[in-house]
Amino acid sequence: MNEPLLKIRLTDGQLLERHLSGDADAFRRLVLRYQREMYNFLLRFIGDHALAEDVFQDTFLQLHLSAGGFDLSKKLKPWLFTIAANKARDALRSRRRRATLPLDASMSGDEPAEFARLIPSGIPSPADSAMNLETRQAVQNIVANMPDHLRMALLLFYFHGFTYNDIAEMLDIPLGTVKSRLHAATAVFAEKWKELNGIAKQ
Amino acid sequence: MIPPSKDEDMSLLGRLVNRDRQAGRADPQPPAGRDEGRLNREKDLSNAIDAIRLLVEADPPEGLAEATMDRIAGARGAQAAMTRRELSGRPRPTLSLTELAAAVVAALLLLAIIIPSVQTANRRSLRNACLGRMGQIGSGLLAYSIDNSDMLPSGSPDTVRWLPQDGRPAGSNSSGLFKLITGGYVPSPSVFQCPAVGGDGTAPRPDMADFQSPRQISYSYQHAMGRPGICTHSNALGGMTDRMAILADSSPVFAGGYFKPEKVRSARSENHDGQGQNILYLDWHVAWSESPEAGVRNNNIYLAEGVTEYRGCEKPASDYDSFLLPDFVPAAGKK
Repeated sequence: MNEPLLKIRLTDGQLLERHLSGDADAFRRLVLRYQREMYNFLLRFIGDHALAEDVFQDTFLQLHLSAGGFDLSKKLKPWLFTIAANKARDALRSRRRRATLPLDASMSGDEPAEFARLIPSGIPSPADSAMNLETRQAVQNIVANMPDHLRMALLLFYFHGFTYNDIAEMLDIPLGTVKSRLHAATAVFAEKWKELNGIAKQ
Repeated sequence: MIPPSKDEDMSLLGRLVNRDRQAGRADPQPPAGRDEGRLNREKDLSNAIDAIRLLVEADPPEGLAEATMDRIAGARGAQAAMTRRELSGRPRPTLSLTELAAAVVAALLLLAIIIPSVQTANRRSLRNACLGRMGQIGSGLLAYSIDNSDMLPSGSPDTVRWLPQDGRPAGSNSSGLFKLITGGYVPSPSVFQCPAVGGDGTAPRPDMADFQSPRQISYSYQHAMGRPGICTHSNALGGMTDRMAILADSSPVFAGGYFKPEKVRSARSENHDGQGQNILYLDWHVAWSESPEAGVRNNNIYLAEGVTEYRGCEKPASDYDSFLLPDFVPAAGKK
């Protein structure tokens, strides 16, 4: 279900303002507006439909409870995703679904000292692979098996249009760390992708 | 492969996803003699990013938004119930008669203090809810004007009489607003009912041409009778749209469809217990005002400028004179 077609598309801030003024429908419209994007973010990060659904509801409940304290002159989306990112990390932590061991010491640090890996050479283009469901599932597995902090940076940057500065603010980490995480995430992905294609061709 | 420098590598990543500008970086110019190694790295990175984008996009489960809204309502209800339980669960102290009398006096004093503040809070909440509804009407009017060459909806274009007199019927100014319902410009007919007044539980149907009862509409709309109607970009208005009042809580001057001369001076709408009224302006903002003195020339928005006696065919004194007509005139509906 998508947001109902209305003659005027109100901004997120206007909808939140109306919600605060007692317009019961305004908050529902916000949920509908972000439903698809938020659900996909959570599903890709958490990797479990039921838990993603749970965290989705937690996120909007939190937004509903703390909407009164939001500075309406700021953008809503980064705030919404900050709530979602925190809830998603908490959910994963409490489930202990996977060990979040860093790839190596330099990558786990918060300082962008040196990139631990470089993008390996000879990365196959997706056009070269069969773009079937199996391939997409394999991509999903690579991302799902990445350390949480790298997966988070990768999703926020490539799929949700946030800038380095946005991500630094949202995750409360230095700008350099955002860049190094993003680079590391891309490098890890590239290596696994290359491996996968190597195996497929054999 | 020649390892790239850190800066070179990050700018490459940014450029490949077209995000340098957003990330606050200037678009780097490619060096004149770009080496083959760099070109290969760029291709590798580009391939990796293309592959990342193959990540499956899932459809959210059916009813996720509704379930979320239910969960929010449930959490709010549970919170309220818990507060009630906490309050009722306190052990009751045993009191002597004197203590009891003192407690009763204290409770009465407390009530005398609390009741007015609860009433004030209630009034404020209704006022805010009303403001929200007027905002929705404003959005509807704007959308209508965009679809109709910048003209706001008019009531009865062929008559200027808005109160019946001596057996002469009147047109209906509110039938202009009704076009927002028939055209689907407002989410629900109930947005025309101020929450402080409340509706009668009946909503007009979109196949009707006008509101059927004063309980279905409690907002007064700018005089829009006769031709040519109200243009949102009138030259006379210039940049003063933010002060041109076009809709407000119900007019007190013609309440019930009759001219009330005693209300001409210092009239406030009765929707909010005579405390003031919400006003929608032509730049589509809504604001609460304790005084009916508003509009471009800061005069009574419920009256035509300079007119104190009304026969039911008066017009605004100018394009920038706010003159909000009665919301519902019985004879007009039966015409």
